Amino acid sequence: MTAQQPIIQLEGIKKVFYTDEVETHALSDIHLEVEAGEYLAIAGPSGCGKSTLLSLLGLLDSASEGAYNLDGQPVANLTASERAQVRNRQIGFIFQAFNLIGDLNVEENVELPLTYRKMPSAERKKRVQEALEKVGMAHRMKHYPSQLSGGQQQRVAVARAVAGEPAILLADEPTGNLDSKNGEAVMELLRDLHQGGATICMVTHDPRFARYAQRAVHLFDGRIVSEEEAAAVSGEYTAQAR
Amino acid sequence: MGPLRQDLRFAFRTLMRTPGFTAVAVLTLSLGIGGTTAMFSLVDGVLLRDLPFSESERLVTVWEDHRAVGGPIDEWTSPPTFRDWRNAEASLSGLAAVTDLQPTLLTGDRPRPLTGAGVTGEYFSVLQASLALGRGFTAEESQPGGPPAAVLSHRIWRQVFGSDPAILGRAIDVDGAPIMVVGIAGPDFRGPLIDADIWLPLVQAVSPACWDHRGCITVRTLGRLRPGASPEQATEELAGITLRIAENNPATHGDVGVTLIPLHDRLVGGVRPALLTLLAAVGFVLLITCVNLAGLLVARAARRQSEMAIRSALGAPRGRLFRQLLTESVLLAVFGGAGALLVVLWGVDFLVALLPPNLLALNTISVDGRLLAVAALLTVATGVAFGFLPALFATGHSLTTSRARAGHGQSGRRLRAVFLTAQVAMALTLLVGAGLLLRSLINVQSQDPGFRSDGIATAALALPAGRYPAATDVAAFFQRLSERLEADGRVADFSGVSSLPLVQGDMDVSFTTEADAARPETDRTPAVWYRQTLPDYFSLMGIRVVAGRALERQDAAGAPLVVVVNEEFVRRHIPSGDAIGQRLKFGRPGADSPWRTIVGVTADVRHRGLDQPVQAELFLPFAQAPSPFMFLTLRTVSGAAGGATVLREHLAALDPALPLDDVATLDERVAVSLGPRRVAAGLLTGFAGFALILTAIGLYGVVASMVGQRTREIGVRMALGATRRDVLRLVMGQGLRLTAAGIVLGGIAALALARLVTALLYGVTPTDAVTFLGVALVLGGAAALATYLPARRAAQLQPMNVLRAD
Repeated sequence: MTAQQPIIQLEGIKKVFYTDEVETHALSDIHLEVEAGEYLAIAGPSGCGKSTLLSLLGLLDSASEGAYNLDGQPVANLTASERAQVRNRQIGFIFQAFNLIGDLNVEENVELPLTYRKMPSAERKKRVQEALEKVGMAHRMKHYPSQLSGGQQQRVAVARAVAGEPAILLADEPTGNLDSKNGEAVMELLRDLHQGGATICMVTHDPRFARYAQRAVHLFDGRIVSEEEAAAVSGEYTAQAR
Repeated sequence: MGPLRQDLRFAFRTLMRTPGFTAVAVLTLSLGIGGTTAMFSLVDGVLLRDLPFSESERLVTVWEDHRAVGGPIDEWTSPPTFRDWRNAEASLSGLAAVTDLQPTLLTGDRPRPLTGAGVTGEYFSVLQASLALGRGFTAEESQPGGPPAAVLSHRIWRQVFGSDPAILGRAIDVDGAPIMVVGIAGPDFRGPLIDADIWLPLVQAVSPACWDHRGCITVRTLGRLRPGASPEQATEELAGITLRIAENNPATHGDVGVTLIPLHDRLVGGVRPALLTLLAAVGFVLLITCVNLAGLLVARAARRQSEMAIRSALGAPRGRLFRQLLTESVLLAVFGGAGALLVVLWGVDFLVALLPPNLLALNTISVDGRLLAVAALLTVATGVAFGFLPALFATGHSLTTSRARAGHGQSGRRLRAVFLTAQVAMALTLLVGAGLLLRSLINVQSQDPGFRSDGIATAALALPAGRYPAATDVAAFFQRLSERLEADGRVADFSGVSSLPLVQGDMDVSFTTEADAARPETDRTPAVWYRQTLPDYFSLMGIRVVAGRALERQDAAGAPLVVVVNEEFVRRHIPSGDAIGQRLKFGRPGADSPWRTIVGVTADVRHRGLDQPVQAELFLPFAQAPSPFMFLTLRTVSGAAGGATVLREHLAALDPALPLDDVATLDERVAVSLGPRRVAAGLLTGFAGFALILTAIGLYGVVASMVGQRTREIGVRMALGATRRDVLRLVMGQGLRLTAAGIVLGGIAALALARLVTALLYGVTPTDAVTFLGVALVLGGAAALATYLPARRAAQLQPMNVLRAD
């Protein structure tokens, strides 16, 4: 791969769901490129296909048509096991509902993706420590999710997403289950990560949070209907950064 | 009554809303409760209830104790010793002697073989048995030379004589001689020790020489303790008498003691370990059923959190909720109990048919009020047993917050894990028991019996002394029979023996070898089991002759007297090991009996049972020692098929009044001899298999429920990079960890409990590592399969679908 090549490249992506002989076109003719280190917001109303798009980007689902190159490599023909490996090494997920595992404590939750990577224990512990320090949750390592507030849980989820140093962070409505104060705190955290070099694709329907991104694409009825370039949001972004 | 009715109505509706769960639960409960009740009925009837005789706890049996001379503790005795023991009047109110007979009743032209018993006059009074008609035997009839008399069983009186009361005082033809019927036994009377069709005075059943010979070990004894007398007192009194016998007869009875065994113990002692083992096994199955259902109910409780929370919010106190849930469990158990009645009705008949027919107490085994009460009690207890903890769990938390519900879900999973571990442990214990019994059965079956059993038809034939009084008559009859059969083109081989392998009724005789002839008279004379054989017996039976020759036609009545011995005889009694040409005679060194030359040695035959040790034996040529009672052995050109028909045809031609008795192929006799082991191993294996299935179902349920509750978590894990193999490992690992814990706990329990079945084992120790390991593998395999199915479903989850549903 070269430095100029987009890390995500979607060409003519279409996604159709079939239910009881009814065809639902969730995505149609999606062309999208995301550069390494870019912060992209995917916005749009409920049901417009933004979560479906994020699932395709995260290799949780496959496109019905079109080509998807991740880091320069086509993903269409990957086996389930190879897709799992790509998810584990190149993608970090942040979910709206945090999706921490209740039976595991904070440390174990963050460590989980690293265990699937067969990483040595000492290395895992080190990365977990660093990731939790990055999100300010190192002091809660032995706590269980049920002992944390929503904001704290999402910070742990962010730590889990970044612990494996993935190429891309995919965030699906990361503030959707949080009050505005905690929502702002999580967005600050993502901004810090982006400033540290992370590539972020974030689904949101809240324009306030879309403005944190360098670029926003707007979906409606499964199509990209508009793109706001970096300039449109950078002013506020820069102002906030200062 | 109002709230209870409401609880019942709601419980019924709840159960009907989940017909699949209810059906499986009722089915397993029916089998568990029914099986336990049926098995209990057997234990109750055989072990717990009194025998059907008045004050039966006072009935005892008395035996010669031959342990000091290498014999059994419960050897039969002789008529003279019996008469001496009868003097133990301080502790015994009566003592009777009993011996086996095989008389033939002739009615019209039809011979009918009967099971008979020769008994002394005290027999019916010792048992306090009331006769339906007539009387028992008088003192005169019980003395040598007394008038012949008979008491008929109620069954024979009804079947043969149409319950005609006029039969009393009339003579019937028994073994060709007229015998007067003096009594008819009561309709429910069955004789202990021998379930006879006809009773004759003992003196008619024993030869005059035997009547006064202390070495003639032909009778068993049956006594009644005086009120207040203990078995120990009776033993002491009998021991004193036996000591005096020993002092007066040092050569034959110097080392003989006496043993007293309560009649009930004597009758059921042999089956006690098997019955108790099977009762424990079926109890385990019921327990596993309860634990399995408890686990399912905990899972249901987890699904009914909202319902409980709403009821609680509406003001239902915890006690009321608890009662509601317990009502559901008990109602489920009642449905199961109703199904159990069918299992009991069928199971009792099935189990009774499997038991040895001589267990007298079987009279009392039936589905009666007492058994129904036990079933009802068991039903309610079962309902409470499997419903209590789940109800406690379901009502034990405040479920109004999601956090409380999350904690509740975790404790529910833990509770189910505990149930499952216990279930695996109990299943392993049962499987170990079944495995040990199966290995014992295999070991017994793989024993070389010393003879071949395939393709041989056998039948018993007894020549009545009335019509065949002399040995020459007996010899002539069998000579004619042999000639006819050998001339019959359908017959491939024919022979006969006085006592077949695996059939009770061996005879033993004391003997002296030439080398021992000089020993003092006071020394103990060894005894040996003996058999008279017709020519070709060894070749027909496939018994190998390992030295010398077999008995042949040349060993006729006037020829030199010969015997063939077995290898065990040589090991025990011929120190040089070279038996051929050595001589022996029957009786003590000074006995005036002829010398017989050993002309052959056969391989050992397991005459007493495949799991019994080999005995020293000798074989006599029939022509030199004719026996009126013989087992005929015959192979037709098509094997055992048609053998009995051929025999009957020739018997009818020779003597139409002679009946064939005890007809069976030798293969069938081998199967019968293995019957008790097969039954015990089969039942225990059935119970263990049922337990294994229940455990696998339980494991499947736990893991499937876990997958259901953790679907989102599995989706998250897959999103984070878990492969399908990781998910399989995660899900199966949880089930298999519980299984492993259960296997370890069950292994410890099995080590402790397996010792209890030692009496049922053969060629395998209670701690047999192969069995334990094999059972653990079987259980592990079943667990792997049970966990694989839900694990595979989990691994096929599409993370996007799971996360989207969230």
